[in-house]
Amino acid sequence: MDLNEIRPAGALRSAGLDDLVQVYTYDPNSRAGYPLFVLMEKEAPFNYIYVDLFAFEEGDPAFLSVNPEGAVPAVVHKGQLFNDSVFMCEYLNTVIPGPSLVPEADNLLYLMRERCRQSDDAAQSVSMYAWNRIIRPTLKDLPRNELEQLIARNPTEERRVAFRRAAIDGFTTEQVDNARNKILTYVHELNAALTGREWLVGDAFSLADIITFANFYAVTENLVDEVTDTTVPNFMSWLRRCFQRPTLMATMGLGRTLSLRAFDIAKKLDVTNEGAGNV
Amino acid sequence: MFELTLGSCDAASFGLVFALEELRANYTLRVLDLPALEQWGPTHRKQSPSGAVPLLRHNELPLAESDLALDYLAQHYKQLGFSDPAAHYRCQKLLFQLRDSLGENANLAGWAITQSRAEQTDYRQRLNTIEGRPRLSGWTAVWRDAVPMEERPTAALAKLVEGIMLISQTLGDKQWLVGEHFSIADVAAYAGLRDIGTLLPSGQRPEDNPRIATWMTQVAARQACTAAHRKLIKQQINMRFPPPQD
Repeated sequence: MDLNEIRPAGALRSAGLDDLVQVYTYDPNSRAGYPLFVLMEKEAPFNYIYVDLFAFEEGDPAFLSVNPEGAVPAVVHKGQLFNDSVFMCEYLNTVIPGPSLVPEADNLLYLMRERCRQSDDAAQSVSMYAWNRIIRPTLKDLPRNELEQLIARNPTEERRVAFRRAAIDGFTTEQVDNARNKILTYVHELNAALTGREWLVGDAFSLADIITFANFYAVTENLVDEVTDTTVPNFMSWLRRCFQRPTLMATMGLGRTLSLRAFDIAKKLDVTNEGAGNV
Repeated sequence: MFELTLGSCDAASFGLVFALEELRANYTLRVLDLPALEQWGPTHRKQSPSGAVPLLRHNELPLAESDLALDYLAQHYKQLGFSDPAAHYRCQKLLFQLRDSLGENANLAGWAITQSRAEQTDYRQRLNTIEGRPRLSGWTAVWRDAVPMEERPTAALAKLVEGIMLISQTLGDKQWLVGEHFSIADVAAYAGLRDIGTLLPSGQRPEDNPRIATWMTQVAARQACTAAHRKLIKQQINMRFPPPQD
């Protein structure tokens, strides 16, 4: 990670450097993408410092000096660290000018927070499933001592356990099956929640849509036969609406690797998006 | 009008009663028999398909996530919360951390200590017969599975000690946990700490930390805290550590 690397993603306004949001994160994929999506929706200037998860930079001392919890995303604003990926979005929504991504009514605000929590929880299964399919094969050729060193530099026991299971021991059949079932159950729950509505909470696009899209935009790739226009039509319509949203796709375009698949997925879903990349 | 469904006076339940008393809210209690798995019965699952307990309802809105429900109460009454965005963020994050480090671990460790091995086995067998009960999955399941069943209560006790450390560090030399005033962060932290001393050895208990002890005395002296205790005693809700749901 090059801490001096700065990638402005919007026109700089008159904000002072201390006011400029610093986002330390990976591609706009899953949790790593939350603050990027929010800031792009706001059309706000920010510095994007890329943390390469495939190079295991989350455990890099340079990143740990920014976020001792050793996880992306981390946001620094006005000298303060924000490292809870869901709650940082509400903070950014409040302090950054631009269209609000949070409903005003108390009841809708609660429902939005609950949906964000549920999507973030379900994303644990998406992430584990993806580690099993994508990352585990890339790790299998690394020498054991190198893997042990990478595992040891994770700052929390949970992360060391997860890494060891993914890299060395492998997941049990039950763990993989439960993760798969959870993803499917949750997509059906989303499908039911989207009956008769365009967005997940209330009548407007909100953080609930951002957090859910960030985690589930590729679900049609992982569960090809199960997540279809026939099985979950409301969910699929919502997914296309998200892919048609220029700011979401422009955010995907900021990534270097994983998030770029969003453009292929959009094509497969017959989504045309002329606005992407022009935000 | 609020309705709180609960079956114990664990951290999440006590925190909600404490907050409702602080806010002088109009509320009623509905009590479930948790060892009999009443939260998985059709009546409760109509309100909460995931069998969530405690469950706060405001008119027709079910508020199943206890930390988010506290935030909802603060927002609704415009008390005990924060208008400053950074302070609100710190409060939200702390509530979530406390739920994970103190609430659920206290319940697991406390339940294991207060139940015989046979009672635990019988309960888990009955729990496993519940259809449609959500199962742990993803990384949470991986972390849980990494610890053998018989070692989980001990691991939970270690998490409680971490939770006490978190509160100690957050409190520092301040009077209250977040910002300059008593808030839902103090409500949740007190609710998480008040009973765990009985589970931990001397020297590791919350009251062994002088700063935490002073702060707890301050919180316990609040009229609403006493009222919450009285309310639960009057309703004979005295189970401190309810059985696990997974």
